[in-house]
Amino acid sequence: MSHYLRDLLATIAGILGPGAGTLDLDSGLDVTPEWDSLKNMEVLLKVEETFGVRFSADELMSLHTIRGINLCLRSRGLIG
Amino acid sequence: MKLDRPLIVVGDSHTVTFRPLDADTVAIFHPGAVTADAFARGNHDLARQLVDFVSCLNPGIGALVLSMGEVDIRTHYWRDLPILVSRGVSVQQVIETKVRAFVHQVTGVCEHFGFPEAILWGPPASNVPGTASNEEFPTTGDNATRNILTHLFSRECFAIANAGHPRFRFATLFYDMVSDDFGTQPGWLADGVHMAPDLKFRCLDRLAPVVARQVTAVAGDRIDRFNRLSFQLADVPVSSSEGNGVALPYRTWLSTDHSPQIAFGGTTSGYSLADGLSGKSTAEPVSELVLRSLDVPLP
Repeated sequence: MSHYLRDLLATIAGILGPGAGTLDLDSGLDVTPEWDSLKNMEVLLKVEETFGVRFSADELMSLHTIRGINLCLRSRGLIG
Repeated sequence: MKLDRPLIVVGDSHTVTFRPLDADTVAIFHPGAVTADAFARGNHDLARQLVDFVSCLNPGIGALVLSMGEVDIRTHYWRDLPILVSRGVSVQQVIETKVRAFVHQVTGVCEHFGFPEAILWGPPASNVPGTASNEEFPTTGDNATRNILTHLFSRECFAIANAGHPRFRFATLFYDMVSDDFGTQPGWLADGVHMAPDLKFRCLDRLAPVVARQVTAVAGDRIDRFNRLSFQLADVPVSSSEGNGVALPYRTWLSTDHSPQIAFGGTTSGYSLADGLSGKSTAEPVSELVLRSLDVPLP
């Protein structure tokens, strides 16, 4: 696992708190405890702040898993 | 009006509207506070439960009626919408995107299970502050804001069904339930959230022509007037009767820092999402972000 992905997981874990359990690429809205629609927006805004990106409105509406967020960041060359 | 076919009703707690009192309803499946968004995403638990339920039914025996959308609007939509608007999309565009994703999933479910079509029973008017507890029925945004969101959701559903979508049908009583300025009219909601039981037959009357395949969408006469309105974000003062230490009975976007969970920048910067003003006193004026019609005077 790259240190970028570890940073992403740590960033999201910080938002969700310990109740979310262990996170992996399949974690996300509907499947992970504590990850509801409100937390989803908090996660995305925190990832923006941490990684210096700005998601489009379409991305804010469609990203709801760590895998999706990771792919989005990779497509911008920001995460390994 | 007698229904042309029995109903198979699936969805949120508003399925109670069709609780079987006679042979009009063959089955009701209520797996919890189902949201249209979760359904559209193919939520794993919901999908599995739906498969288990629907696979036991003969798709030829009744009309599949979905009851979803009210939880999305009452609890979820206003959490995200101001942030999305600050990123340059309109409120209408956000709702259209959500509805189209939902209809896409409905289409897939119908095709998978062999249902000729599915009818969405549209969300009713939203709860009025003080009529239902925020703990039991989490609520975000004021009553008019949520009813405007319900209108935008219903308008898009109506348009898609009315345009002859091969699988998607729509029926709603929402436009009978709200005033011209989007307030929920008294007498419709039994517990503040759900339709009064004695209105069941009025609901069935509204639904019947769609079940009978006489029309693809039905919403009453007032939808035409509402469809001519446009909407904007507005900043309104929190009145002294609701603010200044008295609880706002819903979560909302406030102009000053009241235990924010999310704050955002952009054209609508300076607001944070907070659980009302419960237990706090504030010396400075507080304003709330709301949705209002451009054609209805603001208070």
